[in-house]
Amino acid sequence: MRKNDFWLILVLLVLAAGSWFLFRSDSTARDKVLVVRKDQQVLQRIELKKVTSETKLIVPVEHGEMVIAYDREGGRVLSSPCPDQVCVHQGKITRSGQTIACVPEKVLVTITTAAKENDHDAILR
Amino acid sequence: MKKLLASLLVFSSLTCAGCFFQTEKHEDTRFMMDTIVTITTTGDSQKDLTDATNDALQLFQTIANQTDPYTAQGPEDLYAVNQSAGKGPHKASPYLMDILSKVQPMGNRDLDLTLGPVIQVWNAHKEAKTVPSQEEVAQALAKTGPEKYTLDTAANTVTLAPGAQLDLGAVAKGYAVEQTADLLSRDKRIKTALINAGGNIKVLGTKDDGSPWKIGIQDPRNPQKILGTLAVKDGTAIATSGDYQRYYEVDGKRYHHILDPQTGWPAWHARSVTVVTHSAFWADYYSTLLFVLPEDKAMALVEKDPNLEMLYVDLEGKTYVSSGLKDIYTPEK
Repeated sequence: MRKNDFWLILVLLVLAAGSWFLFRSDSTARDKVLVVRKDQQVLQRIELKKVTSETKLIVPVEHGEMVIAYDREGGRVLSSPCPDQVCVHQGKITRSGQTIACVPEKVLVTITTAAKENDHDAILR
Repeated sequence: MKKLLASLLVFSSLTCAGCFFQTEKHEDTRFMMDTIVTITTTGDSQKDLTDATNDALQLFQTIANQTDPYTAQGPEDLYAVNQSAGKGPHKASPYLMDILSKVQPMGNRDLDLTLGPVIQVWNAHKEAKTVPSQEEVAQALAKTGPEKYTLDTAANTVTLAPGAQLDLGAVAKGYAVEQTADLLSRDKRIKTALINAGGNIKVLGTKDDGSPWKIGIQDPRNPQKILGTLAVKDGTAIATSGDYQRYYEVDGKRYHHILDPQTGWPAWHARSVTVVTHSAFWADYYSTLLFVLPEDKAMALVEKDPNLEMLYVDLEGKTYVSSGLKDIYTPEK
């Protein structure tokens, strides 16, 4: 092995180690984030691992107030002024990619991770 | 030393190529047509994807306006056309006319776009959580039927019989998805696209890794569960009609929104029907139509048409899969 080869290998190793650290820091991206949107606006992004106990979030909506409860596992709509209550009946979402939608009040509650680990490209509902 | 520099040059150009040609992903969700519309695209630049998606969503909104039976939009849109019932020919907007002229020649009595009067009865009772009387439904049903509207495709007019009201809920979303997909498929800024609008999906292009698109189908009795997964390729459209999407219950009986045009009452044969075909419009059309049929009749119709595939979940929860889906559908364990 010539001296230059040694340096080349060293440079490659440093680059490889650097990129490993870069991507390793991304592992936190697998942590679940509860995103609450109203119409097109993101109202809240909640990192669920930081939640210590069930917490309520009150979202002012067109016909009153919607109450969303979340804990470390996921979130659910506790109450909503919408007529059909589909969002309330849906119960708790806990997995990345799951969504609760309240169409009448235009609220969307989603669990995501930065590194999307969904098995599906889309779910037909 | 030269060797080292050359090697580094090759290495850095390779890694930089990875940076420059990395595929970008863009997702936008809006509330339209009384449902959630999500368009996910991939391509080379975020700006291009944003622009292309905005164009597509704008088209979706135009179709939503033209087919909205509840709110006054333009003078040639559905609301205005319905107001003209019994008053002679009324000019209809292009997308509205296109939908009507696609459905009318089918002449199928199991899918009727004139159910407006019956839907109005059910909507009123849904709010009051009551069940309409047989007589009330029968009276509204008398105002329906494919013969209650005529089209003049040369003059772009619709003539509605007195009391007749069009409702395109059975096909409008699928139509909008198909038109949007058509626009995106011609858009050079887009590599792949997935359009998902309240039970209607169309996929465009091939994913970077070449794997098929994986579309999960919701369990009709448990929104947290997947019934199974379809692995589909570029250009596939999928639509689901279910009794779980919009319904209310009185005395333990489920009154949902998909009405049998022959009776005016909710169709009680299936929990959900998923149709797989090439056009999102026809996927929507057939998922609604097949939902009002018992399983044997629905399956017979599907097996006759090589372009149509179906997954039918009956009221007991038993799943039936058409022959063409057997290789691409995997039930959830």
